[in-house]
Amino acid sequence: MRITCPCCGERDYGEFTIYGDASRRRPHIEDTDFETWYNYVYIRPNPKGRHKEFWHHTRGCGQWLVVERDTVTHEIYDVSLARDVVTLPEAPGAEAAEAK
Amino acid sequence: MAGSHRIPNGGRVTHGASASFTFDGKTYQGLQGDTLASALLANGIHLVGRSFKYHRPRGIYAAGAEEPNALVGLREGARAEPNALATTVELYDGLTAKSQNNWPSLQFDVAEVNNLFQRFFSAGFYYKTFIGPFEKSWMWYEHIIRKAAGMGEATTEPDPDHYEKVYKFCDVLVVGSGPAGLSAALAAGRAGARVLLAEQEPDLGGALLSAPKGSSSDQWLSATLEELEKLQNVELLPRTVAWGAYDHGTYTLMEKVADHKLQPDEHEVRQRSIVVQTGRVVLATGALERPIPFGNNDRPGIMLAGAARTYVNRYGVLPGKQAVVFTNNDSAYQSALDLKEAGIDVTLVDARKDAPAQLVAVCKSASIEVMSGRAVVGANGRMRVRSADVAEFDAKTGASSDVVRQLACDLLCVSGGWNPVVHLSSQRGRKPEFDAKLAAFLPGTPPDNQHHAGAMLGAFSDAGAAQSGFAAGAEAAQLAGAGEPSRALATEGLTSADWEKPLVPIWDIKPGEQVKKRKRFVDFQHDVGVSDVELAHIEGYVSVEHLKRYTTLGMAADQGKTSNITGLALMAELTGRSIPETGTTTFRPPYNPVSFGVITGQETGLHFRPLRRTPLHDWNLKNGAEMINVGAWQRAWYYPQGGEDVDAAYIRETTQVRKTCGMVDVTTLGKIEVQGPDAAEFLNRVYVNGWKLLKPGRARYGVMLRDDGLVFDDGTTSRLSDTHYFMTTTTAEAAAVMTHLGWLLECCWTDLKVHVTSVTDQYAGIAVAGPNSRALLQEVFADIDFANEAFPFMGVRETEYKGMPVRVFRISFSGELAYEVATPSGFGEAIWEALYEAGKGHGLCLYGTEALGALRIEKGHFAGNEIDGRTSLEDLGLGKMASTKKQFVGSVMRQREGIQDENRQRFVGLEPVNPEERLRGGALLHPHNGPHAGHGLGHVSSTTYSPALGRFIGLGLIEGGLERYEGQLVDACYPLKGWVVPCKVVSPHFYDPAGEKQNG
Amino acid sequence: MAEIRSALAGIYAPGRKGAGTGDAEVSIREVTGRDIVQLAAWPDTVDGVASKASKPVGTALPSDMQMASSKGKTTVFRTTREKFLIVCLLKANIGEALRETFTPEEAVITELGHGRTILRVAGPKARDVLARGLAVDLHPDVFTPGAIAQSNIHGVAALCHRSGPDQFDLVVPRNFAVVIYEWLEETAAQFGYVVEEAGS
Repeated sequence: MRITCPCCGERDYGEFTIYGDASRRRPHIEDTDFETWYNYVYIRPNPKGRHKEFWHHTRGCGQWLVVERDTVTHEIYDVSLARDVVTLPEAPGAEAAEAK
Repeated sequence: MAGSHRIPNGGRVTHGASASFTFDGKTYQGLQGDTLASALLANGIHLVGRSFKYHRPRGIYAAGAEEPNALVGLREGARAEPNALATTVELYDGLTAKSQNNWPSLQFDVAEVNNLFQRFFSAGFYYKTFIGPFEKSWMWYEHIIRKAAGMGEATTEPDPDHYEKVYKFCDVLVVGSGPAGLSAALAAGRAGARVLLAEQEPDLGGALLSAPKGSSSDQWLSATLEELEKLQNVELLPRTVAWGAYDHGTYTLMEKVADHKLQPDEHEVRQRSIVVQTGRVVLATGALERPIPFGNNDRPGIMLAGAARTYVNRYGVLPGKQAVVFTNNDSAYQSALDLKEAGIDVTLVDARKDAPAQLVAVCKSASIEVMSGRAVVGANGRMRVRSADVAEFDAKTGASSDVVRQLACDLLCVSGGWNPVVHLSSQRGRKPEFDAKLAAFLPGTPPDNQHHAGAMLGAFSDAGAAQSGFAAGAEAAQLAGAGEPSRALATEGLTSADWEKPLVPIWDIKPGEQVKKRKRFVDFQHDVGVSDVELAHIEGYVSVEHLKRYTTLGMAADQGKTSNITGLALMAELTGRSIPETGTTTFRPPYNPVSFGVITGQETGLHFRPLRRTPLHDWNLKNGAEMINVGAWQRAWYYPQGGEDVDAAYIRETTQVRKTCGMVDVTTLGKIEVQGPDAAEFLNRVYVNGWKLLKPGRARYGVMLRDDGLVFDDGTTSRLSDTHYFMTTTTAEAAAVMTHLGWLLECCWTDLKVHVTSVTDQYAGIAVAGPNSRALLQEVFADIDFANEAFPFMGVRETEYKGMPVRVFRISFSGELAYEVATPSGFGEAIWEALYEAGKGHGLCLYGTEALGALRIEKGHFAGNEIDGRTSLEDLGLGKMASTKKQFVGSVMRQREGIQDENRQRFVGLEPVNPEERLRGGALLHPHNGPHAGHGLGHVSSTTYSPALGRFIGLGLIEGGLERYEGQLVDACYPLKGWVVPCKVVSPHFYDPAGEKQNG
Repeated sequence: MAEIRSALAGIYAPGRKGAGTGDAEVSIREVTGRDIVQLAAWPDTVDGVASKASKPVGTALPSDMQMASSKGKTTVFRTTREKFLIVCLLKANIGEALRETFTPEEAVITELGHGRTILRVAGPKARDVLARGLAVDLHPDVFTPGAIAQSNIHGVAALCHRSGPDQFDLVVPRNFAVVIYEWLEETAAQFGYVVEEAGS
């Protein structure tokens, strides 16, 4: 499999390390809701088909990528620097505060 | 003349360049350009081995990589190679080969009695007989069976040769160098693309090399090769097989660089792995002829019709004097004609009633008798075919008559049609498609970046193959971004005749009722016959994948190149389904057997994986350290004095550290610079304890959890400035911590301005421990005030020593007064030596990892053995360390009931009742005096002899921990050896529990 | 300044080695006397930092992550969007200059000079040697002079810089330098090679 790193160009996947599901967003550090963390840590969609994953260019530039690929055909649809595509969660209580 | 069966000046071998070789100890002569098989045939030798299961005599059956029978042992001693294909081994002067799978000799093999009992050795024999009723019978029989069956024997000596891996990149990879492959390379080359052409044989030309020397195609071939060699953008790789196809244009090749020599030249590799990354691929892999099963169709002297032609035309060898050619298609007529031309008597048996009239006429004028509507139903002769039994045959019904004629022969050529080589397409997941006209599987729509050409697509004329190759090459080049070929293809000299009459598929010749029943083989290499396929069917096997595994058809080293299609066609017939309905098995890499040398390349010995050396490595070696591999690192294990073993050395070193002082290389600890305006906030999130109040110039011990709330790693981190921290991790988890921190910053907390940089390579780490360490460091680093009040525990100071920057941390892993010194790696040895020299006046000893471990166990510090991914803060006695004023990684999940359960296995110390009795790491802890069953209450994680206590001690994890077991006895059991060591559960802090020494 | 001990001190042995006897087609040399400093900016400061740094560094910083910028004996690699690796002569004291130029809010500076070893592989067969351990297309049309690749070399994460038409500088982690040096020697043996005296 070949992954086109935004920094380094196309490289063999052996240079990269997969770091799991990138479709989930990490809860806010101040979020203390157990279910939220439980879902984040343990529940995986594990789809057959298109999937977003974190990949680390371990043996290259060391950057973190979000790779969207097909888990069956290995076709790669998109590679982005993770920093450019991840979004930050709102602080817990922000919603409640807003509702007030 | 090189061999009694050599055609004077015949073939493409170099007459005059003779090569002497031995087979089973006897010396023969061959010629340069021969394969071992052609050289044996040139000496009249057909019998070359015994079969896998029945030890039946077997001969050379093919002329290439599809050979199922002629497996030989090559060379001797360390370079011995089992299971070499005689048909692909290039002959060289001095080659030694021996037949395999026979005892005591090829001519007389005792195990041939297996053949008499062959009904017992049918499909599933091993499973049925040795597994099942008697639970342990397989274990009992296995070694006997392995000896009787099996292939050649591998050497146990280290391989003296070198292997390597090379990465190549191209626009178009062409596999195969027949007319299609050469034309594809020509088209892509003329279009300006970067082209690689891989050909498994030493000479380029493929099927064209099997035409008689001086054929009109020879001119086309030499003109084409001349042009290709001149093209700067084309690289030709003979002796290179493409064996694996992977995602996104990655192909793996094996180049046999020096297999055709007695031994590689100095500095030359024997074989080379080539990993190709290509834009497009043209597969021009051709087709392999397939056999027809008939009685005793495995006798020496029976071979594929195309192979016989190759031996005559390419190698100038007469594989017999009197031949019968048995076919169901037109291609064998050319073989018959070429054999006749070379002086062999030929009778042609065509299973089709409707034989090709024009070809028959040509044969007749060449005095070849042609019988149509007849089939060979059996072969006579044992060590060599003697005659062929011919019967009337109806290809539609498969019925055959009694034997109507017995044709004397010493060569029986067979052609059952051609199977396209679809392996590299199939490896990419494309199911081959059955073509009823050719009765063969074609590759189907090319997968991903592939193009297919030539005989692989069923185009069997040379000109047709060349044209399809050229078109594929041009298309491939264009799709890879190159232009158009500068010139069109010329095909003058190539034949364009297609088959006159279609092939009639025949998968089995069932003997008539009066005809002697003889084994009809489908897979020669695994000794699988038609009857085995029938048996599998009777026993209810339906899927080809099951058929394959039950009968082992197609599972030998040849991967069923000649047998797969026949096997599944038979299965289709038996189950009444069509061949497409029955389906094929999937091909997986490798296409041909690949040596371990090629897989490992240069990654052998000390380069098995990159070895990490500390800046003190050379000094340690020079000063007699015994080294040990710790992960990728080489570390000093112990420094023996006067023939000490490891036990004596570490006990002495440990004692000395506690008495005066010692010095150890701790460079391997992970070191990470954490820098940026948000560094304090970041550390506050990743460590369980608070970090915001730590002042510059101070260090703090920290523990990290994983997201699931279990302990990840620990270490000491120092604050160098408001925005700059220096983190240390354990040696084992350094890379994992670095990765995890990067992930948090780049993928989760993108709002934090923090950079983490590994500086493990940048700094050497030296720990000095023991009561005299303060005086020693004070002497060397005079600018720092080492007084306890001026430089307290967990303090950090910086200075220079003779212009070399030094950072001193007052931290302790041993429980002693201790310091760690960090200096840029290039100064590591100088600082170490300065300390070593000054240390002579302070009783300094060197200590290695063994003493390091003993000291930390005495002190009751946990390490990797205890932070094993299953322990929580509470398990390690650190529950109170977790801040309640902030959230951190794992802070929510660690609150789970299961993790907080007081019955969890928790960290304790262990003292054997008998202080002289050694504890074993990994031993299970069971209740004292039993029962000693099941998983136990916990386990022993670390053990050592404690010089401070004068006894063996250990650390472990036990259910309920100290609260339940303190002072009680448990048994440490080592069930593999039956050892039981009663021991007392105690606090893990054996040594100086109050910490007076390290703080004082 | 105290003498920096090379990671290769225990193994480095100049001389003509390997196949053949004539001029070697590969040369190997440790490049010494270099300082290496990482300059790491933030997403919102990197453009400003890059232009401001060109003065103390003495050359424009590269905008391309696959192409180095060089002037004299100073070479700058852009290793990620926000990070630069500056390789220059030791005496330039570049780390100090950069720390004086930037606040941590703009960029942070990390000393890496002792953590890397630079090996220069040159000659007509240099590319063939590297192709045996580096899975990057080194064809001169693709990997032109100045090009860089951060990749795996014989299992070690390293940086390869084409510092001339037939010349490559490998920047490898110090503690793996012996591995790479041994591998270079073993691999170059088939072509015939010379280990040159280490130097600047």
